Amino acid sequence: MNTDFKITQNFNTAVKKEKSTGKMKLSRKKIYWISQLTGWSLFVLINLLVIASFEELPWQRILVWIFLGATGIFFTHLLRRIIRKKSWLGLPLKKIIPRVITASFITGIVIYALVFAASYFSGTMNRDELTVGMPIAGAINTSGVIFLWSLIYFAVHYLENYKKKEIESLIWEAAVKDYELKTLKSQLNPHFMFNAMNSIRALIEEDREAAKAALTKLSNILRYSLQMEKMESVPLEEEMETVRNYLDLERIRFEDRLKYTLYVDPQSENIEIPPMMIQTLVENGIKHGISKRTTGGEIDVKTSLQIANGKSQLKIEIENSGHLSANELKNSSGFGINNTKHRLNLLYGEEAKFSLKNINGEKVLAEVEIPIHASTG
Amino acid sequence: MKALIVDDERLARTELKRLLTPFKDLQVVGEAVNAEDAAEKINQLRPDLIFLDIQMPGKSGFDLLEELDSVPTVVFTTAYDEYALKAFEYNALDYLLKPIEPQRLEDTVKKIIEKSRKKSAVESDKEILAETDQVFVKDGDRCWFVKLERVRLFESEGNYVRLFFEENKPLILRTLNYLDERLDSKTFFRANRKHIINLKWIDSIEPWLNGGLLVKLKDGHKVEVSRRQAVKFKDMLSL
Repeated sequence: MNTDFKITQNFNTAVKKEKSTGKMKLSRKKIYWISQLTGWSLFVLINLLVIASFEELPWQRILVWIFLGATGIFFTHLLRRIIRKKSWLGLPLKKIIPRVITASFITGIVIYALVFAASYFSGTMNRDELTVGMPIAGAINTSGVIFLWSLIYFAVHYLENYKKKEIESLIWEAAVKDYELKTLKSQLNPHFMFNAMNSIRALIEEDREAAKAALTKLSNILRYSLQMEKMESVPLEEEMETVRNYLDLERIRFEDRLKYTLYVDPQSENIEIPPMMIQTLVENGIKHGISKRTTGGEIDVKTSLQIANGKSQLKIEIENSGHLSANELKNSSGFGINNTKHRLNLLYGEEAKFSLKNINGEKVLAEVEIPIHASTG
Repeated sequence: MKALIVDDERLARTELKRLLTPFKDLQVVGEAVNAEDAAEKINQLRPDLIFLDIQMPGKSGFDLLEELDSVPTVVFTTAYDEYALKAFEYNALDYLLKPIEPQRLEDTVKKIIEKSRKKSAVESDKEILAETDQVFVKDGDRCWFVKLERVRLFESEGNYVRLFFEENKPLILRTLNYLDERLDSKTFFRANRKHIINLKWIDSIEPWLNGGLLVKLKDGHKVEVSRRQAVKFKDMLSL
């Protein structure tokens, strides 16, 4: 629930940005009026040109045509207001078509009636040649023009909507991905933090120097995890330093029940990796492996460079005492494993690999392979 | 009052022991490093109070409690177990968050000593589970400390027994025969092969087939008392 809410928030701010950039361009209102004026002007102009090429064109007739253009603008504007007020754009096509046809027909008749009256009284019409069919044909003709207007109006809106929806879905996708990466960035386990503080408090009585050293290490880890919240990647060496601090602190808690070795290939020291990733896997190894055994155990972290399919990769191996049941391996959501997998996938796609397996029933091995990009290598 | 500290971390035990020294009424009689060790020491030392860490290697603090027949007063000590603590009914629980605040510890210990003073007058035989004894029950995500007097009915389900108290009916891993031997016969009566009833929850009794009886409990539950048990039942009630 919380997640959805946050995504929606990100999404809303993204949409707002989109809208505000839209303002920089022409406003929609202006575009509408420019289209109306040019559309109707062109319509009148072309008609006049065609008529002029066939017959004589008295100025009164030109005026009647200009009057037709003006009423066209007026009544289609009125039609637009109705369309917007009744929100026809939101209706299904089945309901829009009869409405548009009826509206076009009525508007067409009204416009034609006005134009007919104008030409009748201005004397541009030859009253002797007047037949019954003529006004009917005229009205149908005008209705056709209005229908064409509606068609353009709806088409423009559909296209615009389609584009907007496409943009919205893209923004949405980006917001989701961004959010996922943020939450997937593992945070320090609070259980560890409080246990460490408890151990340190006991150490103050027992061994003050050790307590001071432990407190420094705890601050280092805390600082690192806070800084990392803002970063996409971090040099391997830095992450390993934190892992070392972390393991030293856990050793205060577990005492001789925890042993560890860390080996970093000197060539891999500066390779950029997702922050807190190794840390999370080491924490998991302790939580689900070593801390479950009354006799404790060992955890070893090793990094190396390798070449697979002609591309260089960083390989990280985390091996700890313990055993995962088939069910635990399959259903590893509680182990931060899905988290790690998902995160690697978002960052590197198919290029990164992650695996978790039992070895000889005694040890659990987590392996990560990350591509080394030229820019970061 | 005798207390046992159960925690896998030496430093955590040391720190708690140090914090407990000012309380003269409380005597730390032992320390256990895991659940198995604790079970042994609880049987051997019979503490009135245990300070119990939840996350431990091997079995957890909850696993330990589930194995105990009668659970002493428990104070959970935990670093950060929101989830585990949420499983409890709100008032049924004392817990201390590590690092432990001395003031909070003092409040908790005082409260417990106060309670035990009121109770110690009716100290019962340790082998028999009296109605004031509590058991720890875990059912899926929920946990309870249940005083036996709150349990109306025990119903056998294979190797498990279902407890009925308030609106809950969780299962515990015990056989009905085992409970029959351990439960105080003044309060709890074996009605038939499948049921033990709490006599204080009986609402009405009527004659039933074959010389048996039908007991209706206050919650509406109807339990048949077999003919053989009915004889015993009548004897008991006539006393």
